[in-house]
Amino acid sequence: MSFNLLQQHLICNGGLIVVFGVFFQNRAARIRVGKGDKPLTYEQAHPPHQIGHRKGWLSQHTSNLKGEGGAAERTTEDVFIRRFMFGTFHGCLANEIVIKRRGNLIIVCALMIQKLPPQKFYFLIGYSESLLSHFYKCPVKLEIQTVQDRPVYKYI
Amino acid sequence: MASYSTKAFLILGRINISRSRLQNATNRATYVSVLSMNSPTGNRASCRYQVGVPRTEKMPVDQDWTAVYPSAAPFRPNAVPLPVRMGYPIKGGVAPDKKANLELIKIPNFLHLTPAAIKKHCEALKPFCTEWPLALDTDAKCDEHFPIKVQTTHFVSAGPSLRNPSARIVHLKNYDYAMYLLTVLYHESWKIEGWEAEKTVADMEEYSWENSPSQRNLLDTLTRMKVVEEEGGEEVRQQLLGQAEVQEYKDSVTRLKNEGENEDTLLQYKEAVKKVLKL
Repeated sequence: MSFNLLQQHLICNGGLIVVFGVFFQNRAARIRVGKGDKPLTYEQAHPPHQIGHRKGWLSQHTSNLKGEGGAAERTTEDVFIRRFMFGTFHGCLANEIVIKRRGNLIIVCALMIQKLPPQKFYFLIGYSESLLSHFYKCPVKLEIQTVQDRPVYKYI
Repeated sequence: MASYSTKAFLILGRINISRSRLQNATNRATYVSVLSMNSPTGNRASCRYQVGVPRTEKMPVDQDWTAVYPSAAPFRPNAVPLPVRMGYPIKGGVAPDKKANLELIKIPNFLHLTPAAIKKHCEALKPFCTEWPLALDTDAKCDEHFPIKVQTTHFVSAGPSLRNPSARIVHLKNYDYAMYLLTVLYHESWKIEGWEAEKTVADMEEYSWENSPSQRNLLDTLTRMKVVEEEGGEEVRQQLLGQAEVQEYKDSVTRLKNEGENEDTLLQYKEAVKKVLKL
């Protein structure tokens, strides 16, 4: 089936296309070079193989140590918390969310743009904290910092 | 999730990929949308909400730092008056500064454990402590008097459930039971049974060179080497045993048999053999 598709595309495009060597380039979490007008944060500018070299870890917990369990559960919690924060503070997130775990406590650190008045921020912070605490049955603390605009590392 | 059309594009070596598709892929990967050219910079430039002066401007030099960071907290650039920079520097530039630096927030910091803070902790704990016994001033003495070591893990398992046993410190009940078991085993080990007298060479846990075939063979070889010079009997064997090279050979063979074969032991055996046979 895929071979037929290949033929179709060859006919559509008119000449013969010769493909050399490597077919698949790694595209994971990489923003491709553009005209020089796209601003990137430090997180976005570094691809995943720089984790541990130029980037730190966004989520820290002890489940990945030897003899510890619950790594999958912590990862699922992390994914949910990231989606939750993205949706609750829509358009306000300046950068990725950092999740730290200290014993029972989950600390969610986020960088926000000053898009909403402070009262709305306080309400959303309280709402998120209580909802997440009830959901995960453990204390969840939010540490929010606000900036005027997104921190640009470089332009691509 | 990729449709057949996207797969065909991949096989053809990534030509004709539309810009919008690429941006969608990036959006799905991260939860921060890539800023596009069309963003209204006018709104962002003017600050609509009153932003206060950062706390660092109002900090006196001799402030109480333990009040700023009383417990473990993530890095707050407006509360730490240090001009730190973190990250890989851009080409022809420097590392990004502390404002809005996610790398500084990611790492654990010890700003709540300055010497002043630790002093305060010690002062608070002092009423509950007794003096360290002065006689135990070296590690060797501690080992001698307290040979049993208790192992504890230095981190507490991080998860939402308090029911996980490794989320709590070890209970004293288990420690006592461990002590009881050790005491029983210790006393049992001193009792000598009747059948222990029938222990043979094959039952020995460690190799001992005295009265072993290795000793006999060595002494035979050495006496045969010496037989040209003089006659002898038991005294010659005793004299040979006293020699330094023979002792070295004994040590090397014992070590080889007990520790197994590795670089060190084989080297030592080779040297000892060369010296004993005077090669």
